[in-house]
This record gives sequence, structure tokens and C-alpha cells, in this order.
Amino acid sequence: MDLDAQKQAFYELVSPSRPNDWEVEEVMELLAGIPADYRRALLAHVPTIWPISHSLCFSFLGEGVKGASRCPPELLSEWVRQILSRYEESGLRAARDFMGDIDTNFLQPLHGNAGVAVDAIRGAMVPYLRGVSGLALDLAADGQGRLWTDTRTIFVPGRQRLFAERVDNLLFLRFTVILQWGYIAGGSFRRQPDGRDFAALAARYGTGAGEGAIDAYLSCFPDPARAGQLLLLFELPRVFDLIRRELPGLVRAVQPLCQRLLAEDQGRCGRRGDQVHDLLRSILLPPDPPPPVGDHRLQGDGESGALSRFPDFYDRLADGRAGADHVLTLLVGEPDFIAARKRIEQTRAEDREQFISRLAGVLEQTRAQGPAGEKGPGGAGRADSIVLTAQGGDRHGEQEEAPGLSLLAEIELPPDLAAVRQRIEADLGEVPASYIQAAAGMAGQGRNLASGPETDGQIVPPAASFVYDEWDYRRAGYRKDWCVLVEKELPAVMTDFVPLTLHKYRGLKTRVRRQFEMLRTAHRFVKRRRYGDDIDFDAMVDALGDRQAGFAPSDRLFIRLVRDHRDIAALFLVDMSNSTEGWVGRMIKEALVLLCEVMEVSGDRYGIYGFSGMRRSRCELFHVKHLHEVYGEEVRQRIGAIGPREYTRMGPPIRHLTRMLQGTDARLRLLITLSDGKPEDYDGYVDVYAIEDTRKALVEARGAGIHSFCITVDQTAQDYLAHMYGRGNYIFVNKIENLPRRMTEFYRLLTS
Amino acid sequence: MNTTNQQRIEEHRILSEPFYLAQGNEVELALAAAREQLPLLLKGPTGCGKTRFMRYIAWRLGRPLITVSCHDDLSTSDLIGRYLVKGMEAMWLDGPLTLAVRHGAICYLDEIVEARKDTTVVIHPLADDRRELPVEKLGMIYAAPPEFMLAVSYNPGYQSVLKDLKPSTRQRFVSLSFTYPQPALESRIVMTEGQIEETLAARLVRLAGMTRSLKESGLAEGASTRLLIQAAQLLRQGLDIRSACRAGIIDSLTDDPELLEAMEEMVQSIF
Repeated sequence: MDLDAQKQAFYELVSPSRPNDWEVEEVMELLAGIPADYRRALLAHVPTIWPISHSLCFSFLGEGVKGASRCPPELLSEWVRQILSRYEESGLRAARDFMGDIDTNFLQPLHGNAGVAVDAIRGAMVPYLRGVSGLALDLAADGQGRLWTDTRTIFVPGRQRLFAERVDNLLFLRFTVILQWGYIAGGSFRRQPDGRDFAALAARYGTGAGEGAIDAYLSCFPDPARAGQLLLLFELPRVFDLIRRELPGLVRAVQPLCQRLLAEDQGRCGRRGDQVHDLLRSILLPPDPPPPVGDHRLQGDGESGALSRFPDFYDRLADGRAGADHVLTLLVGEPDFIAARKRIEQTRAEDREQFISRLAGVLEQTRAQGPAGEKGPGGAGRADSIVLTAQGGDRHGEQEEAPGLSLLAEIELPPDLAAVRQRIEADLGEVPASYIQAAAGMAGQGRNLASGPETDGQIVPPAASFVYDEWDYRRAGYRKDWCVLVEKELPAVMTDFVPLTLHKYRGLKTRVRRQFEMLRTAHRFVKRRRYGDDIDFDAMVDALGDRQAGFAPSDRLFIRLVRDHRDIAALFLVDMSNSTEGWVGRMIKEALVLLCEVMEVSGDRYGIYGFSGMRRSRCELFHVKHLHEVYGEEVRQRIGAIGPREYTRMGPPIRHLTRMLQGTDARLRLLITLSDGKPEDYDGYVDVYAIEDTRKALVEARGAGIHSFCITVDQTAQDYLAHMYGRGNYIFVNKIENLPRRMTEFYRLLTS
Repeated sequence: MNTTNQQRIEEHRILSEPFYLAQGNEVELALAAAREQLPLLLKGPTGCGKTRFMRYIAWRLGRPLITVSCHDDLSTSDLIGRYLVKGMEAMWLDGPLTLAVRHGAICYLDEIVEARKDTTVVIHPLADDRRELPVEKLGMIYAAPPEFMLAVSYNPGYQSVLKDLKPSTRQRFVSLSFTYPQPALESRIVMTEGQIEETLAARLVRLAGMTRSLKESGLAEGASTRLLIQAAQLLRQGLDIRSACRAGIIDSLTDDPELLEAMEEMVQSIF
């Protein structure tokens, strides 16, 4: 095939876009040098990659040509899958890096001899980490292969291949992750040096008298990065003790690995008597000969407390660079105390804000319920306060404390607020009185403001639109007529998206369809019917008994097999914000296609709407399928037309669909939101404000007898989800590929 | 007939003290509620000790405890009673609720949300200040004696919308919230019930604590105290720790391979 014909074929593949001639030419020349079969195999993936990123597609072809001799054509699909998921996760550069070394990054892992890839074990490692720590910690691969943590996420090298065996690599990786957790839990990143600590440094190194957190302290050392690492070494005995207490099995298993590393290190450097080396050995390995008593020269920090010994420690070890530092870096990593401090401050601020606004809400509620809650001893009102005392454990003796704290003790804290309170207490020791005062003040203020309707800035709505209030948590009141929602039609587009999707999920579809058929035909025996398939023996005995006793016996003597009439109306609200661009949006659409197919089987009424928009004056709701509309070609085309648009203002569409559902007569009314993260819009509809408004809209829906549930597609479960959606009212899907399966499964569980 | 009923009620008497360690002031609250003739609502995750607590309270009060495990085929006749035919004579047989009311016993409806909502409405007149049970078929209204106590339990963790308590039912009760006990307390419970040594019990509790942190990661519910005791019993029978934890705890919690792997690693790390 000559170059021109090939170019032409390429243009057809990527039609309707028209890439630069020279770019195509360059790639085609490369492609000309490889066997025709392989070339065809490579080009077959162009339609998959092209719509996602053009540059990625060119890079793919270029690297594919280079890898032609090594990567068999049947593995290309898997390679492409990994490239795309790398691209989705970390962008073009990461995807290019990944493609650049096909041996190390793809072929070797595939054959199981390239250590442990973090991405591959993340699924099991994150639950492990969270379970062990009890914190919402996350795990991520670090782009530069460093090991460090910002106290929320632990970053590890993308691939661990210190040892020949996979199981050893996994074990060591787990240990280093747990060690990072140990530093977080042990408070290494939260240390507060005092004036004396800074003064000691000033005297020693001639730095100015400073103040601040631990990162400021470390910056006074001649080599701050080294000081940070040595501080972790200084604290290692304490942290290691904690881990040994908590996870003796892990420590037992990892000790031989540490021994191997240290031995190799010694062999390599041939430096006996290296201080860091000896120190690590004495801390990590079980004491071989018992340690010399009274030797204080080289000990880390045995117990939490003063930093006063640290400068000495630093001076002794700072210059012994090369040696065992390799092992030290492998173990404790390269800490970033500045990032950790920033993250801690950020978390603290978030917690503070969340706590205050939630507590204000609770106070407001309590105040509003006021006298109604007091039904004398043992009435329903009493039961509430009992819940508090039973849940919160020992609350005796708090009455004598500050008024704010006793206030906390008297009010029933909802679980999410109690969790925030716990976090704050873990961080600061106790909830500062200022938080509670702020909340009390806010609750009072909100009451006043909420009583009068908000009239400033009212918007004149255009025709055929709906106006909704919006909840402002800051004043605990509604902004009247604040948002305008416009119902729009999605333009139907001709696309083969639906048939392709159905083909892709044909196996799953058949399976799920069967499950949904079971739902529909969920038959059960109903007793005490006037007519039926069999005699209801219990009813018969009752009737005989009644007759003997002189009562008119019942004529409901039969048992009948009935098919349950489900009588469910479900509306699906789909996030069409621009953050769903790429695979997320694609998978959401695929999930919808699959869902429609099986919903048809279940016989439940359902509708689908997309939402997006920008600013409060233009919230848009896109009609995909009305509740009573037949699922046909038009609906399919509209699903195909769902695509990323603007922002995520969730309140108005939820209120709108709530109103729609209120108009139906179904026994069970469901509102299922499908979103990929936090609500967000242009004009201040962010963070707490957005979350509180969404939450309020969902509470309103619940008040209207509508069950609302949310499916969130995200990398990790965020703390705010439980608060926003209510406990048990959401699931989050962290693997987007699983969405179609999880979504149908979720719907089935929800309604059976 | 009275003698039959007397025999029946005696079967429900709890003769020896059930092992129960209080988590907080729930025992005092329950006893206070009993003195004030208020019904109890126990809520909490599965296997955290609700049923054991009721047995303990029944023993403390010296009253028989009639437990009804609710299911969705439970009819009002099943609770109140029905006529039976014996020979050519119709004979009334008290249901558990009537039996409890007539003899001043404690009636405990376990997992009440499993019963259909229309069934549970029959307890309403018993659960407020009227404290009476109308029995339509007998044409009688039984007034509950002061010793009678009604208690119900449910697990608020279910995700199905069909499993929730009606507000009109819920707002008649003194509510006691149960959570899993504090670690030290839970260790003592596992140690005593499973008859294993203290350090082992503490580690089992630590494992349970870890699984309970997995709720956000997709585990429906963490390991209950009951599962821990179960694993301890397997241990007592000489099984090794990993098999006991795997069979007794982990495999009972989920089928998800990644979560299973994570929990397996936890076991290996702890023991």
C-alpha cells in the first residue's frame, strides 16, 4: 500500500476531524516500516483513541511502531486499555511516559516479573490502609517515584521492585505505607516546636529566632530536606514500637526483608560502623546480642516529646550521606513537611467550617422543635436525649465544664457531625469553645433572616422556565426565587453508540436482564384470599374454630400465587458537567444504555434527565426520556447525544425532579442521581454552600415522600458524601469500568 | 387451659444470669423505663448484643421473656392468637403477645422491620399510655399489668427503602442505641464468651475495628461481636488463627475479592 492510500485510510478512520497533513505523513512513514498485519492491528485502535486525544493517538502510533518487534498484536488491546486509563488518571505526559518503555511498563508486569505496580494493588491496599488506620487515607503513585505523605494521601513509588519475588515486594510496600501511617498517627507532622527549640537552633547555626510549625523548625537546619528525613529516623523507634504493638504479624514478616536490604547495603558500600545503618539495624531487627545498656549515643526518640535532643542527633548523622541512606530513603521516604502542614491546616479549616455550619443547623432544629420535644419523662422527646447519652458513651460530669461543651453534651449529634467532632478532638484535643459560639451565633442569626423572605436580586425568568429557591446555609434560610431552571431538549444524534455498547455488554446484559425478569416475576404466596390455587390451611383452621365458637367464619380460605405489582417510578438525574468529559461521561452513557435495556424488562416506570448549566440564571435540564415515554430509537439517540457541558448546580434539578415525581401516583418513587463529584457552579456555588444546598434539596425530596439515592463516580469516597446524601443513601464507584454493572445492581438491590 | 398457659409462660423464664457487660448506662435506662412502664426500641448493627441485652434485662426484672423473630409472613393472628378446633370444641390459643400481656411478661419483637407494616400496627395501643391489647375475636381488651414490657429491635443500617420503621410506630418508644462495645469491653466479652486468652481476644477486636472502618470502601457492615465470638470458638477447637478468622469472620462479611484480600492482609498483619 502506498503512502497516499494509507494516509487516505487514516483520514477515514479519524473522520470527521482533519489532522495536519505533515503529522499524518510523519506517522505513516513510520508505519510503512512494519509488517502489514501489525500495521493493521495498530490502526484498528485509532478509532478508540482518537476521540479521546489526538496527540495521544499520534504518540500511540509512534510508540506502537517501536514496540512492534516486542509486543505481539494480540496484546495491543490490553496495552491500549492501560494507556487510556493512564491518560485518564494522570494526563498526556504520564501516558507518554507509560508508552515510552513498553518492556518495563507493560510486558514485564504482564508476565509477572516486574515487581508490584501500585495501581494493580491499590484496590486491596486502600481498604487495608483505611481499615488499619481507621482514617480516610488514600494511596497514590508518585510521579517521581518518591515515598512521602501529605497526611491525607500516601504517595509511593509507582512500582516496587526491590526483591525478586512479588510477594516480598508487596510486603515491603505494605510496610512502608504502614510506616507512613505510623508517622501520621504518631503526630510527627503535627509537632509544635516551642521557643526553646528555635533558640537552640539559633545558637547552633546562627539562624534567626523563628517560630511556627515543624516545617519552619526544620528549615532552620543547614540542610532542611536532610533534617526532615533524619527527624523521621529520630522518631522511628517510637513509630516502629506502635506498629509492632498494633501489627505484630506484619513486623515479623518484614524483618527478614529489612535484614536483607541492610545486608546488601553493607555489602555494596562496605562501610561497617555507619551510624545510620547501625541505628536502623538496632531499631528494626530483633536484638541479636542484647543492646548495650546505657548507650545513649545513637538512639532515636523513644517517647513522644521534646525535640531538644534532635539537633545533636542531626549533627551526628547529617554528614554520613551515602551509606545506609539508601535504606533509610526506602523505608521512611523523603518527607515533605510543608505539604503536610498545608494539608493539616486545610483539613482543620474544612472541619471547622463543616462543624460550625452543621452544629448551627442542629441547634436551629433543636430550637425550632423546642417545646414539642418535651413530652414529659419517657415521651418521645426524652427518647432522643437518651440516644445521645447511649451513643456518646460516658457523658457524666460534663455539666461542670464550659457552657459550650455542656451544650454539646445535651444535643443529639447526628453521626456525621459526631464524626467531625471526633476528628477535631483528635486534632486539637478538644472542640474549641469559639467553634461552638460561632455555631450558636449563626443559628440565632439564621432564624432571624429565615423569617423574612429574601427579595434582593430577584431574577425575572424567561418563558417556559421554572424558578426555585436555594438554601443558604450561612444564614440558614432560603434565597427566594434564586435559580432559574430551563427544560431543554437534547438534539437527537445519529450514532452507533447504543448498538456498540449493547454489543460490548452483551454478556452482562443477558445476565442482568435475567435478574430483572426475576424482579418482575417475584411471585409470592398470598394467604387468606377468597379464591386461589390451594387451600390455606391456617385460614381453614381459624374458620373452623371461629364457627365452633359461634363466629361467622371468614370466607378467605385460599392461598394464591401472585406476581407482585411493583408500582415504582424512578427518575435518573445525570450529571452533564464538563468534568464528565472523557471516559467518565462515556461510561455513564454506557451505564444508561444498559439500564434502559433492563428497566424495560422490569416494567418499572422510569425517566432520564441530564443537567448542567452556568450560574443561577441558567440551570439547564435536558430531557432524555420522560417517565411515560417509550424507550425507542429517539431515546437511544438522545442518550448518544449526552455530553459534557458546563457546571454542576445540583439543587435546582433535584427540586425540579422532586416536583415531577410528586405528580406521579406510584407507590414507590425514586430519584437516583448519577454524578462524578462535588456540586459546583460559577457564582459561589462551591464547597460547603453547594453541599448544603444539595443536601437541603434532597431533604426536601425525602419530605415529599421520595426516596433519593446517589451514585457517585469518584476516585475515592469523599467525607462529604455521607453528609450530603445521608448515610446509606449513596454508593460510590471508584472504578469507572464497573459503573454499568454496579448501577444496575444497585437499582435491583434498592427495589427488591 | 390456665395450667397450659402457665406451663407455656414458665418455659420463657430465664433462670441463670446471662453474661452481659454494660456499654454505658443502658441497663439503668431500661430498668427506669420498666418502672415507668415505657416500651423500648433497641437499635444497632447486627450482632452487637441487642438480644443478649434483653435476656439480661428480663433476668434482672425476673420476668419471662417471649421473643418473636419477625418475618414478612407474620400475621396479626400469629401475634395475638387464634381459635383452634379440638374435637368438636373451639379452643382459643394465645399468641405470644397476648400471652405476654396476660402474664406480665416481656415481649420482644426482634428485627421488627422485617414484619409487614400493617402487622406491627397491633402493638400501637400497647406502646402508648393506654397499655391495652384489644383482642377482637374474644371481644376483650386486656389491660397490661405493670410488669408487662414491650421491646422491639431493628438494624438501621439496611439500605433498602422498604425496610424502615413507620414514624407512628417509632415515636412510641424509648430508644436505646447500641454500637459495638469499646475495644477493652469487647475484648472482655470475646474473652469470656469464646473462652480464649486476653491478648488473642484483643487482637480479634482490633481486627473487627479495622473491618468496621471499611464501610466507606464498600463493606456493608463490619465484623460484629457475635462473629468475633464465633471465631474465638473455632480457635478454642484448635483451629489455627488464619483459618479461624477466614471462616469465622472474613468470609462471612463479603464476597468482593479485593475486600477479601485486604481483610486477609489485616489478619496476617495482626497475628
